[in-house]
Amino acid sequence: MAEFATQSAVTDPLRQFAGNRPAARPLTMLLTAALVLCGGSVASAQRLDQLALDRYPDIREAERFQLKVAEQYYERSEWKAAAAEYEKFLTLYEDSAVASYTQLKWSLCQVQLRKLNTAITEGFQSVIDYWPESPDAMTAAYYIGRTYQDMGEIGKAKKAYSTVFEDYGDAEIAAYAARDMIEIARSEEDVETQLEMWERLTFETPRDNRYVAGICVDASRQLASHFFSEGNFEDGAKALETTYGPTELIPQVVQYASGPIRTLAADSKTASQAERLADRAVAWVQERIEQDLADPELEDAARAAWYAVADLQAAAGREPQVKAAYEQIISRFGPSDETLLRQGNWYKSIGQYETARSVYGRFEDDVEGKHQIANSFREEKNYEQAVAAYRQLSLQDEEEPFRWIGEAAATWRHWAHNYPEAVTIYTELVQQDVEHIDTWLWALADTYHHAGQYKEAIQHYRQCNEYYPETHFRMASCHRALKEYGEALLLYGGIIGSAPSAAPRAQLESARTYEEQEQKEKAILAFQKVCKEYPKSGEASTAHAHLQTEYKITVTLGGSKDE
Amino acid sequence: MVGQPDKSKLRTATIATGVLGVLWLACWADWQYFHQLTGLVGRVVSWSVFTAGVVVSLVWLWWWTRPQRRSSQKTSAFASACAVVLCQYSVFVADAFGLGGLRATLARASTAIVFVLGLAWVIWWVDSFAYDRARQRRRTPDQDAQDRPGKRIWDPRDTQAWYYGTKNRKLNQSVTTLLGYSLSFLLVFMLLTQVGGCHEVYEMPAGGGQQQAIAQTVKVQRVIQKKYVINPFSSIKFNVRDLDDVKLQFDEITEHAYTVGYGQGAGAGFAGGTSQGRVRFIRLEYQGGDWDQDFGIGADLNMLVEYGLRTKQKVAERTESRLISQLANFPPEKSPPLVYMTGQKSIVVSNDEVKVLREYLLEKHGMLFGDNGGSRHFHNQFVAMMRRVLPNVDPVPVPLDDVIHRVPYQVPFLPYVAPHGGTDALGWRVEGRWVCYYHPGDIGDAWTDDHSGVPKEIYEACYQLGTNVIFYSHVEYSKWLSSRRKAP
Repeated sequence: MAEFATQSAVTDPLRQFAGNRPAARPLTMLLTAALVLCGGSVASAQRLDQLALDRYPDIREAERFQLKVAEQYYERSEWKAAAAEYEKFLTLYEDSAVASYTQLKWSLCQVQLRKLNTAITEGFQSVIDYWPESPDAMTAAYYIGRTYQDMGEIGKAKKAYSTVFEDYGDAEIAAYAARDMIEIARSEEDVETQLEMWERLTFETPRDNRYVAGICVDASRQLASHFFSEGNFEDGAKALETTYGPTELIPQVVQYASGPIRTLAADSKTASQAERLADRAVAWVQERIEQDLADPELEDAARAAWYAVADLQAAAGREPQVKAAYEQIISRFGPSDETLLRQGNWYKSIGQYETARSVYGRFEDDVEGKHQIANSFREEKNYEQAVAAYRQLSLQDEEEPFRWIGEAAATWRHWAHNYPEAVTIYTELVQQDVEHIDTWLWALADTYHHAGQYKEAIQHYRQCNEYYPETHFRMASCHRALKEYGEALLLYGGIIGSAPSAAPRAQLESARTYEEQEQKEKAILAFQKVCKEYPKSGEASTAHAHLQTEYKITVTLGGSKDE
Repeated sequence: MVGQPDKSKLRTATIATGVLGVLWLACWADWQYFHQLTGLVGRVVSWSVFTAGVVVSLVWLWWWTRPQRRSSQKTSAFASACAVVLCQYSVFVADAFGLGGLRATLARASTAIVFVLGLAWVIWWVDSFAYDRARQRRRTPDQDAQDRPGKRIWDPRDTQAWYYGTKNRKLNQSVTTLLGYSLSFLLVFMLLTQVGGCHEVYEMPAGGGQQQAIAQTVKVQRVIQKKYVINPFSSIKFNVRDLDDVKLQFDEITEHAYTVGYGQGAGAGFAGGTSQGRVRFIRLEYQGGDWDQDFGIGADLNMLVEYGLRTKQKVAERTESRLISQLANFPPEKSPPLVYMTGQKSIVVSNDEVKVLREYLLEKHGMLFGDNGGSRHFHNQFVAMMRRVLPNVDPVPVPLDDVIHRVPYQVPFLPYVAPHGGTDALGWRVEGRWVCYYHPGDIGDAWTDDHSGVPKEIYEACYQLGTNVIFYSHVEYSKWLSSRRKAP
């Protein structure tokens, strides 16, 4: 079961599809391709909108060629062209073994083209009517529900999912339907249905396909969270047991139980419930602590279990018990850096910074210990000492001295907003750390910019070639602050000519520059140009609203259509 | 009336003014609540009575301010009455000319003026009485029955009233007067604006028709030219036309092969409508933002007129606005099928207004047409408002092949002026019906006289989409009415 924990991270292609997010598809494709290349079970890694490999032998050469053309358009998210090619396939090879599949894909193209009614009535339903025995009929039955859901036809979607459960209850497709039913039930605040579906996915659904497994893993986690928030520890732990092996189970139980314990403890009405939940969780963990520490793996597991106890006690807000737990860990396993880091962090979380630093001071890895100390000073807003600590670290750490100097500069720049001190340190870095000069030049220019030293900022931005066109936007902004509008307009013009993706923003900023110059007519023309030339951009929206509110001009010359 | 009239003439003038006053009140009530004075006659009556009211009140004011009759109190009373009549007239005129924004501003200003005038009169009334009582007490301190020991004075105009205490009585009286007047004014204002009239009705135009897409056909006429048979060996030279030269006449014909409406009645309209019914365009007034963006003549009125022209249905003469709370005044089967809401700033809606809107959408089978007038902020505000109104309904992108995008016009894309809230129209669907259609890109700007300078294709599509949304809401309402009437 343990392998499922990682599977949940795999992007679910179906969800992407339903949510009209083609941008994320390449990631899924790469993952799928990687799985196939690694020799994994091909069938188990198959997406719902992919043709199973065992169906390929049934396709003739000519059909395969046409299908490949259509599939290429589909993978490139060129939905209109893909739909036309699938249609062509159906016209030419009506009796093909994969005709049902092409009909299904044509329907999916219609979904992407936002013709959801067409997809259902002329697409998915046709698959079921003409090829009822094909595996695609099952997928189409599910997609009818999903498409209805995307149309807001919740009643019809539920009915379609019920059909899937009735007709294909044992198939993998039912897992997708169950997941979508959970989505609907959550929106309708129907806890009963959510529980039913979570339990179905957690305890009854086989996890052979990695996508289905991912759905089941999510369901088991949600079920556990639900039980924990109800104060039912045992059932929550049982739900997680279906997903995690013995070594991972304890930290996962702690992860999912800590939140509900903290929430329940925060309210005086439910504080007693939190106490009981924490007690049961701690007892459950303690039952599983390995006593035999001969094997290093067992020792690690025992230590992890003790960390879990400390975390649970911390979630319940029991300070003495947390201290006792860490003392127990140190006495049993010795003061490892990991234990000290956890202990120090806990002290920080309750505001005891001095105690936390004394704990960090006992680190075996001196550099890491001092790093934590410097961080704690910074979090405490004790910037002088934080910078001193980072400076000391840079002298001590021969491998990465500039990293710590950079941290010192960042402390002045971002935390203390002390720009002169930050400038001094960044200048030092520019001179000394040639390898990362672009990073330090950018940071220096940015600091000058925020400090209001625009001329110096421009000088340094000019040297940061790596960040074009952002450098030009920044330089133009500095020129505008210096009232050097001509320079700013030249820079924006350069961006418009050379960086098409940044052109709408540059055009909008040009208009604002004219406005600052009090050249109203030019400003109006420039704002109108944004609307006219980039009508689909967010900048067009800004320009349109600005023209109306500031200049009372209604003729903004924009307008477009979304096809 | 002018100069030194005898008593009988003055009595006649007073009676005539009284009659006019009654007429004025009746017309005001109709204009405000009942809306029975419609058509040319109704308009003439309203205009005549209100204009006469203004003229007569000004004449009376002029007469009373003549030196020989100068009486400060009466002059002030006439001036106050005159101000009220003028305020009402200014709002009426703005309303009649469809200047929605100006009407709303004048209405607010008039309310403030009436409040201040009323307050001044109340202060005068209380102070005069208090002054008289004090003077009376000074003159005959022993005879004043009110001041007998052990008897409490209850009259709030008297500073000696027991509840004003023993210290700072005048201050306490002033504060009490201000608070009492403000509360009374608020109560009367709420009665007149919220409860007043109690019921307002919306009636759809009677008729029938089919919920179908308008057929657009392109006729290509092939004109065959005369053919010449020429002897190629002839010594005569001919300037011969090409044998394949034909003329193509492209003639786009948009024909209404059916009546745009729903039901069995005659003429374009809806089952459940009435002969006096009209399609009206009502926008919602709300706090926090510019609800009156593109309101009235040259703006959303264009859409209403276009709707009438395109569907041949009867439409109202001007667009209107209502507070969200006023939706509660419409009875269930006489509610507006569609209300419109736009703006580009914040939307502040109280819990009561949320409740009214929910009741309107779900129980009265209404529909809300939201339009983002200019910012991402408005988009977030609108979606957040809808989350409060319909907490268990999630918005979804409206499919491009949905009936709302197909009937009566095929609009297979979303036209917009500027993509303030993205490029997807969102919809909230309840029991198979769109209860809210949200346009993210300022469709209202495309309906204005200048169409915001967008290409013809876009503003034409915006009119078509507007027509579709209005038509959809009325058809759904008509279906609902029919089903309710059929139900036992």
